[in-house]
Amino acid sequence: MRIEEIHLEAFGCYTDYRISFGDTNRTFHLLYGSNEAGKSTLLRGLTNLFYEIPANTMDAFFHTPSKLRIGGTIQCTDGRRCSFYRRKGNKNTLMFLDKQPMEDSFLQSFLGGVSKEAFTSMFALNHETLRMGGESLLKGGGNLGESLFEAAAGIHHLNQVLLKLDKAATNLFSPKASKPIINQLLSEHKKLKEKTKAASLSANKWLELKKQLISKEKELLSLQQEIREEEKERAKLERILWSLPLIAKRKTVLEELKALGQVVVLPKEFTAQRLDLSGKLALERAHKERLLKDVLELEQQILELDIPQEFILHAELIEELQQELSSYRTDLASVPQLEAENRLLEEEARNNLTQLQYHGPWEQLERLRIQLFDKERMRQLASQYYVLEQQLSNTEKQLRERLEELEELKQKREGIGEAVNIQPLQQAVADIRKLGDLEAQLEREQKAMHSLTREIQLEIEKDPLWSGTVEETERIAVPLSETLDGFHDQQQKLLSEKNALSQKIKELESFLKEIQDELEDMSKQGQVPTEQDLMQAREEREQGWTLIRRAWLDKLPDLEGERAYSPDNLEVAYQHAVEKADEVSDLLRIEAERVARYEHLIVMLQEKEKSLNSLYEALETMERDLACWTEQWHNLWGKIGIQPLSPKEMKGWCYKHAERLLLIKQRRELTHSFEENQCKLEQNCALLGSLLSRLEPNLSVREGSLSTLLGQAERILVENEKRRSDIEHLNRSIEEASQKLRRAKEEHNQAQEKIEGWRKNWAEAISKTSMPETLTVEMADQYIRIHDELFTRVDQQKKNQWALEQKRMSIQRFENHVRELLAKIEWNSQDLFSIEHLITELYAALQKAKRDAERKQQWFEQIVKMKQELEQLEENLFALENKMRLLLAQAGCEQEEQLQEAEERSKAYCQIEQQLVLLEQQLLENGAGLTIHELIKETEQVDRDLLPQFVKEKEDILRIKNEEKSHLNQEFGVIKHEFEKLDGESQEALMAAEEGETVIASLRHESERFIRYQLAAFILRKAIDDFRDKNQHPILQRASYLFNRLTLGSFIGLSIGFDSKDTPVIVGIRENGDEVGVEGMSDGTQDQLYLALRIANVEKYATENEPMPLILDDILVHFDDKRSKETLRILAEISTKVQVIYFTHHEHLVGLAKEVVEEEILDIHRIHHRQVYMEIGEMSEDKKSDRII
Amino acid sequence: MKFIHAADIHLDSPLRGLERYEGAPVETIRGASRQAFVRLVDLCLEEDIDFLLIAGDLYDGNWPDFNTGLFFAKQMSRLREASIPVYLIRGNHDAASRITKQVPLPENVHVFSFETAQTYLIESLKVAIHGQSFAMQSVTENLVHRYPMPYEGYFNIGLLHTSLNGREGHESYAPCTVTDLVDKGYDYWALGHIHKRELIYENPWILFPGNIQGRHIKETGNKGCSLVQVDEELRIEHRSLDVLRWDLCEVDLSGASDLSEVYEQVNQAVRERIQVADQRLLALRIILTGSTSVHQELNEDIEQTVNSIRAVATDSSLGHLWIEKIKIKTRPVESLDDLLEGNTPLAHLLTYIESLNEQDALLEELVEELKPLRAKLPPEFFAEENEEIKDTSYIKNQLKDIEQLIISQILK
Repeated sequence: MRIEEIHLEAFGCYTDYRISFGDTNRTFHLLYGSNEAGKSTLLRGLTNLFYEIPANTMDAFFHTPSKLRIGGTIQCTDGRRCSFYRRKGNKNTLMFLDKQPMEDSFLQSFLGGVSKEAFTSMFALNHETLRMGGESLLKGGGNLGESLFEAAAGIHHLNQVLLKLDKAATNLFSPKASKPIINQLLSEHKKLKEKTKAASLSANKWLELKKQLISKEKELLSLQQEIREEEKERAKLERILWSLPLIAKRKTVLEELKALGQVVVLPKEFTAQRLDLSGKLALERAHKERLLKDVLELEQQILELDIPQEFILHAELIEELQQELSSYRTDLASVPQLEAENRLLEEEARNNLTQLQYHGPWEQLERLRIQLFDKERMRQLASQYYVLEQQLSNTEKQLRERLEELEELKQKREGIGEAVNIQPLQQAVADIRKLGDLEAQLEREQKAMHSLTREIQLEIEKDPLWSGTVEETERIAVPLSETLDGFHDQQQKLLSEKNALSQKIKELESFLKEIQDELEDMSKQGQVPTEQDLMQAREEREQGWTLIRRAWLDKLPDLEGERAYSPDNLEVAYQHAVEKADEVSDLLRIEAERVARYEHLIVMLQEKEKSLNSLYEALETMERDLACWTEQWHNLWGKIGIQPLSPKEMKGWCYKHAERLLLIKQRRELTHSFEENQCKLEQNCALLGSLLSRLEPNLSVREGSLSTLLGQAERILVENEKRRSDIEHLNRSIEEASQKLRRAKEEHNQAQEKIEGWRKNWAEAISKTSMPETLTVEMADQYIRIHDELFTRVDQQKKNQWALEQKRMSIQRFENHVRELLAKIEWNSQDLFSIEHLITELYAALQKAKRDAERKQQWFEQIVKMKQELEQLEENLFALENKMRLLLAQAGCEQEEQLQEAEERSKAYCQIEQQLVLLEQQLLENGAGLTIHELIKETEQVDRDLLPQFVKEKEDILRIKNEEKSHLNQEFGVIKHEFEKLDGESQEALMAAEEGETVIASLRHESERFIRYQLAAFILRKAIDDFRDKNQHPILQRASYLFNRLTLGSFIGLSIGFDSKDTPVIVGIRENGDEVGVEGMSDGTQDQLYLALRIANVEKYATENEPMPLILDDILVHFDDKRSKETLRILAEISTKVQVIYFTHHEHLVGLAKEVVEEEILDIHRIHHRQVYMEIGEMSEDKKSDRII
Repeated sequence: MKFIHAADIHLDSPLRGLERYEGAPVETIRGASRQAFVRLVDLCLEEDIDFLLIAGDLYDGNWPDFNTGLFFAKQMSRLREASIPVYLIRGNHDAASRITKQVPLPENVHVFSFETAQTYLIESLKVAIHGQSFAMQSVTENLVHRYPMPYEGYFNIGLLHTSLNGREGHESYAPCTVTDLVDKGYDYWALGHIHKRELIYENPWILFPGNIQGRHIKETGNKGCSLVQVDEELRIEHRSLDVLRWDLCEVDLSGASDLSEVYEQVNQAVRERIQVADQRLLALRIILTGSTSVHQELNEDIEQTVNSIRAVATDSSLGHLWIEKIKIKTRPVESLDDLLEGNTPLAHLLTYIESLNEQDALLEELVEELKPLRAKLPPEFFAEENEEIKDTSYIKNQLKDIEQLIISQILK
């Protein structure tokens, strides 16, 4: 199969890109493209074309995945052709050119059933796979089978695969190791199995244990029985030992009881009752005696008590006096104090009177008293006076100040003159300002005018085509731009036509020359026979024949004709003619090709000469047209006196000229504006001058410029403005000052009036009092103060006098009362001066009398109570004595005193009896249910002296037996515990067994893996050996030849050697016969060995199958130029059998290929996707497909 | 009248083929057969049945631990407390078991003699139970002929451990035909020995209840006992007892185009199986099949694939799952036949492997290759469901996998 065309309609960076390998003679296709030219994409595209576009393709970045399309045309050796497309998708991705779906199997029939893997590994090779192949050869030590197999299958890692399988297997299992997984699992399983066995309970063990348990239990029971018997014996002995003393004691007690004889047994509480009763009797009797004695004593005391009755009668009066006594005492003391105070007050009042200059009698003193109302009025007036006085002085001062102020302002106003009218000047200045700085503008315009003039001048001078004045320049009539364009187009058209003609002529001339040369060459190689020559020769022959026929057959020789025909003999001449005709005819037949070519050339020569002549004529016409155009052109410009250049240049000149005219126009406008401004300046100067001289006549205005004048005018305007505002301000101030003065005068008058009114009031107020009329305001205050002191004292003295009299009266009254009382109670009063003492004594006596009366009353009451108590006592005594009599009867006694003895006897009897009961109770309680009699009987049967010995013996026996029992119990417990443990709940063995099963499961899993790896490695080795056996010779032979060439004779070939394990390996043979193993070869040589093996395989495949194209991607990167050339040569050779498509980045390879590969079979393509899709937009549809390479 | 018919308890028989891995629910399945048996006793008590029938193979033949017998006795005591009698015959396994004869059983447990066929009568129910235990492991005699004639006026039950006329995967013991049984004139044949539940005949009723707990991947599906109620008519109801259920889960990956889809499909399939198992713990074998474009990817590193699939399945199981095994039986989309075309070395390799099937000498060599491994493997490895690895037919079975391994390694 060979590829005729690849069409990357939309794939990777390619759009509608075609590579055609259509020329069947060219079998070695060299595809050259720089880096990034899309070489790899193209390679992928090839594989994808045959074997689907992968789902995760990296070539769908420019075109969307659904748009990806690759097409191709392929042809089989049997002549079948197929053009198809592939799209990206899951199924039905193939289609014919007419979009009809194509079956995969149909394509497969072209590919000879080669799978994608086989295709990429066997028929596609790049420098990496080459390198890997070389390395793999090295790693395999050149193992023959592997090398051949790998080289054949294109698999480089076969050796690694084998090692990997081996390693995987050894990692899983190794018969003698312990680490591999299976070995570990085996040992684990063994352990678990042992564990299961150890943890298992055997039936025998369980039965044995059960038997043990039962026998122990029996043993234990019998022992317990024995112990019980012994314990019984011991208890009996112990009982006897213990009851012996009790029985003896009982006997003694019984005897004592007998000795006591007849006894009245009194109840237990009898003694207590008796003692209680006699105690109570004694107490009651003593109490009765004490009460009688107390009554007597109280009656005696009452008789002895004496109480004064009159005191109690007047008790109220005495208590009253006693109460008043203290106020009496106070009064008595305060009389002399008041008297002294009064004297002092009178003295001070008199002093005050002296101060007030009063000399009248003391009794008329009241006349001096000033009424409260008057006093208040005086005080008010006095305070008013000070205010009024102050007001008056204030207003006076103000009045003075206002006057002075007014005077000052008036003087100032007179100092300033009057304002003048400045309105016109103001207007003029404002107008001039509006115009701006006229002088500066004029200066600028002048400068601009000068520079423009100079520029225009220069421009005109610089022009090479035109000279004249400015005005002339303005007046030139330049042709229109359209006219110039017309001339230009015409000229261009003419020139290009002329050039085209010249070109054609040149081509034709050279073509003619080629034809003439070839004709000449042909002629040189020998005369080329023509049909004409043949005809001529035949005619000559015919002529000879006619002559001969006439001479020989007709016997009418035409001698004339013969002579004319040939100087030789006729037959000779004829023979020559026949020979020549034959010769020409032969020549024509033999050199038919040459003849045809010769004739063709002649005809072509004539045709071309004819067309050349017509071209010459056309050229002449063209030149005439050009001359005519030139004349018209010159005429156009001659009118304005210009020698024209080319239309293009003249168009440039026209632009320049237009610019010039623009400058001239500008200058004219500028001049006009300048003149206008000049005129305005002069007018303004005159106006300002006249206005200024009117305002300030002495000012010089003649020489000043406009700006100076403006300065003056503005100064005057400012000064005038200031003066006007000053005057206004002063006038307003004077007006204000006069008003203030007026108000001050009014205030002053009011103050004077008020003070006059006050004086009148004052005089009036004084006249109403006793005060002297001359009294001033300042003195009035003092007077009133002394007056107030005086009357305070007078009033105080009067009050004291009244109190004094009151006191004296109450003293007298009290003393009278006392005397009255004394008379009533017939108190023997020694003197009344010690009245206080008297009252106190009286009071004390009264108190005593009262207390005595009270006590007497209490005593009476006590006596009554005591008598009642006595009656009660008598009753109690009688009851108690009755009870005593009952007791006596109970005890069988006559007297109280006999009772104690009876009691003691009864007590003794009870004690003994109690002892007896206690003893018998003890005996019965511990007597194990025997009666006292039986107990006594029991004691009688034993030897009392040996009894303790017996008890001890029994105890020893028991101790031993008990120890034995405890031991037995322990043993039983252990067995029982062990037995109970075996309740079937233990899962230890089960768990170990379960775990064992999981290990078995793992073992099974790992074994399967091991078996797979082990057998895979084994089978693979076998298969390789088998392949080696079957394919060794033809491939090795061919590879040997190729290796010799690829190494440029460095090795003469390949052979089979054997390694240390006697495995056959590939070796290279040096010229001297040395064998070199793969490990002894350089990297490059290893690559070449691998390449040789691969090529040999591909060739072998091609002989047995439908050949597949060999696609190589820059495999020569590491080859030097010489080896590269040789490789290319070999590839070219095999390309006759297998289509070779070689991709490269390296331009020099193209050169090498051209050198060594025959031109006829070499097909060079240059790839560059970018250029392609950049140009597509600009191209028309039908061209697109042609412009790919 | 209500009774339970169970058989093939195989008490304390460990589960086989469950490889441990991280996250496997080890604790749940510990003592699974014991757990299932306790459930059986619980069910007897719950249903308050009149008696329990056990049709042989109470123990596992070679199991050495006497604890198992004691455990059984203890469970039987529970039934004694509830006055439920138990009738049992010894099967081939029990005959081989060292435990059987020694265990002291409570008085409610009646074991049929192995010397002759026996009958137990339950007068209160008018039930006659006939049976005979296996005297030895291998009984090849038809025991039915020895069974007594039916009792008139009684409900006659025959208790028999048999493989009938042979059942796949089970040794042939006490052979007999269905006709033999029908002709006997009993009302109900309580059979044991076949681990898969099977109702052989109706009226008279002949039933294998199956074992109560599946023990390996060949014992898939619902396991338990049969609850039989006899009133006017007879009703049989299967009751699940298994702690762990064995199941196969085949996932057809034909539609899968990448690994994530594979995982998704596995996830889906596993969920379905768990659903079917009624949330019971599953021991699942996942088998990936179908011709798929991910075939090569799945086979490139089988360990990796198995781990990923297991992780995916475990994730979706909520602890209800133990992955027993994951088998990759997928096929490539393009058949390898394409590679066989032409005279390529790969084609040579494939042809060579294919040709091995015919080359007995070479196969023998391959068998020999495995000899060191075989010598080391313990006898337990070759128990029941394991394939023999010492004959050429085993090797032949492996050839496809080996071919797959080689190709995946070479094309990697």
